[in-house]
Amino acid sequence: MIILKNLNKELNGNAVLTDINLKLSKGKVYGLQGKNGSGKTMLMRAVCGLIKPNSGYVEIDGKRLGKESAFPESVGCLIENPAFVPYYSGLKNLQILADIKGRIDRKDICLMMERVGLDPGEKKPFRKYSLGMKQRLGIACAFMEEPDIILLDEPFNALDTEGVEMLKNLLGEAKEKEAAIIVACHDKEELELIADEIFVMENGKIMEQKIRKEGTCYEGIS
Amino acid sequence: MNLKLLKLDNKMNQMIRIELKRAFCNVRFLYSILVGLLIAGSQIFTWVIPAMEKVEYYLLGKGEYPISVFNTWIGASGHTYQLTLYFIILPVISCLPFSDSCFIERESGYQAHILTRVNRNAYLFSKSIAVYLSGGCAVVLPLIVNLYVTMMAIPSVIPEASSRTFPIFEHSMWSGIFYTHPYVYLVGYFVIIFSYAGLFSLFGMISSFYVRNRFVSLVIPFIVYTLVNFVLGYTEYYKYSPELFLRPDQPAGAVFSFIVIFYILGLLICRIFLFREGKKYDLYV
Amino acid sequence: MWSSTRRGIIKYDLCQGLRANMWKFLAGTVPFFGVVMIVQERSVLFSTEPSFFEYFIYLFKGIKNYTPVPGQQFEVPILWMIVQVSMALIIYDYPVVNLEKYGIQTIIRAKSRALWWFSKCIWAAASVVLYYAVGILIILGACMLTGKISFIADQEWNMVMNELDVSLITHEQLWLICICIPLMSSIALSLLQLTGSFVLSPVYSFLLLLSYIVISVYYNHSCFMGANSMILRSEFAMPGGNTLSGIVITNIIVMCAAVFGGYIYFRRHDIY
Repeated sequence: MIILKNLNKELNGNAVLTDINLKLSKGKVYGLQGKNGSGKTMLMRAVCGLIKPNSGYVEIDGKRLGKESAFPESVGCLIENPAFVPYYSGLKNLQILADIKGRIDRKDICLMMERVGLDPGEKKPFRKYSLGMKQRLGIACAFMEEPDIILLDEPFNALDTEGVEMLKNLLGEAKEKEAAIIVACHDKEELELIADEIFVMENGKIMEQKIRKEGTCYEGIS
Repeated sequence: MNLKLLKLDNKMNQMIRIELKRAFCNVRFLYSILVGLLIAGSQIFTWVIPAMEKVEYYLLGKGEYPISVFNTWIGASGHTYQLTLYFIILPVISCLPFSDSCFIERESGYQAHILTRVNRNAYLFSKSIAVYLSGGCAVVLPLIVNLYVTMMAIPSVIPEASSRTFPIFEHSMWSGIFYTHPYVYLVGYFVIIFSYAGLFSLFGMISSFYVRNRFVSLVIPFIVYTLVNFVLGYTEYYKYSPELFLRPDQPAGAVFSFIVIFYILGLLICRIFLFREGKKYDLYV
Repeated sequence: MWSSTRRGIIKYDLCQGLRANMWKFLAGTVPFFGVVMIVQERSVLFSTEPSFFEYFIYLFKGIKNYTPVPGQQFEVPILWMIVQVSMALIIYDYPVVNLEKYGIQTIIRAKSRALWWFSKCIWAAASVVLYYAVGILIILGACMLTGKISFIADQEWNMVMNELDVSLITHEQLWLICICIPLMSSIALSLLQLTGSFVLSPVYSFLLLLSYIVISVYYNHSCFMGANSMILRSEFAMPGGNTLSGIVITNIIVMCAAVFGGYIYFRRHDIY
């Protein structure tokens, strides 16, 4: 369970998050919808523990971020542009990161790379990847360790039709494995295809909360 | 055809104006001046202000040659750490304002917006002018401020060689000018310092074409400058080290012809690399 | 004993951090090759080849206390300065660039800001140790080539070239002042620079460190520990010079202040 309580954050005098109150449970996909600059990415950063709220807190499985733990226990994220070591190949980049926790091995990484449509044997360094390939690598990085929380910021950017289908399948599988997934997307139609609940953000506030009724029909509750 | 050339000229002028504005109306230009002012300003407090008290002593005719601006300002204070420090970090101060702007624009993709509007050569030319001028100003302005403040506090007594209280000796470059028209000497030296500071910032800009990290491009001229000083310092050619010949107090005696030749060579090297960069067709991000 | 995550993040920094800065280590060998050439050139004045310590004393001798006198140039000892500059360039920008670019992925896997920060401190210290190890190897190599691998300092050589009377210094003290103290001082300065690179920026931290080092050479004061590694300022070279215990205590205080000060800053630092 992820709880955001009275979360407020100011950066350089501007309120980027205002009075955010959310309860997110496992096994669901939550969508963050809003214009550019509405605070979607900042909210994700707050859930990740990358920014300290000015007031309020983020609690993950009973532990407050910044107090009982600095970061969530198990999280995978793709926030803004995927960034990796430019002179390493995709596989090498993922291996280096996976070695930190040591939970998965090379075989698992190769499988994940193939799932996202990348060739693990590709020797090309990351800096020579196309935008779509970089995005796929970022997605592989977010999903590879089967985290309990997955945060994806505009994950459909630069993906072709196959890539979009791939991502939807990955989201479905992660949902079945009881991961809490937060996806930020400005494209309403894409979001409505995958999200169980959608939060509409504007100027750092949550203006509306919509729960899926059936298909792509949503019922607003606030 | 004339209209096309006219349009190109206008675009070039516009680019130069834009780049100059970006280079000078830029918080990093301010920070680099501040760094220089901190050093030059500290010299005022540690040396010039105490020297003010000695001025009256000399006015009462107690012997010895009076204190003068020309042996009190930072450029003549070889015994203080400020002058040494200033000329150690000179390449970094010159690169700070705008040298890495090319790198930042290439990395962020902004360069693509510019190059679809103006050709690469015009872009590089205007960028070079802005980098050169901002780098030169960032280094010279604090020295000028220091000189000005010293002039307000200490009289401009004409230097006298026999007093042995002035840093310039007979074998030094422009010694005749220093002992007859010292302000002309100082202006000449400011021109030399400005030119070299601009050259170092151009080197920084050129190095940013080849590195993957903008912070590295800011220190490459410093690395070369320090290495040259180190290597030459242990040979009979130590006077050709930029760290020594750029100092107005000329601790090793400068050679004007060498200063000019080295500067022209430096400009040529910059021109070659800029020409190569300008020939590139692909914008590789 | 340690969790796999702790081992993982430290291993990441040691491997990636050292690999990313390999070219800087190579470039930083210049002062060691330089001292070898200079000492070899000067040793023609003497009947014996220089020993291991002659090189290190020449490298780290520095200058005695400086008294500003108009007409007398203040010069920073170039060889000693190049070593400090090389260390500063190795530390320079890696942590900040790492955090800005791909640090998010490593820090959320580390799950702890403290762990990430201390891992960077360990990387900085390891970089200094590796740098000195490379230097020692180069000098040992030079000794092997000249056929004199001796760890006994030559008195005549040091009196003439280094203005140091080594007969007053024990063998253990020589190891301390030639290797251990410079190493420790470099680690302290590197940790200071590391903290500064987050609080300010890598370039300004670099400038601040250089300024601090130059001012330390100018003023011999306990507040300015930048010149602690200078052998000619130690108690062995001049009466009233820096004591070994004083230098060690100062270095430890600076290291602790830098590490914990940096942690306190980084704990609240927004990563975006």
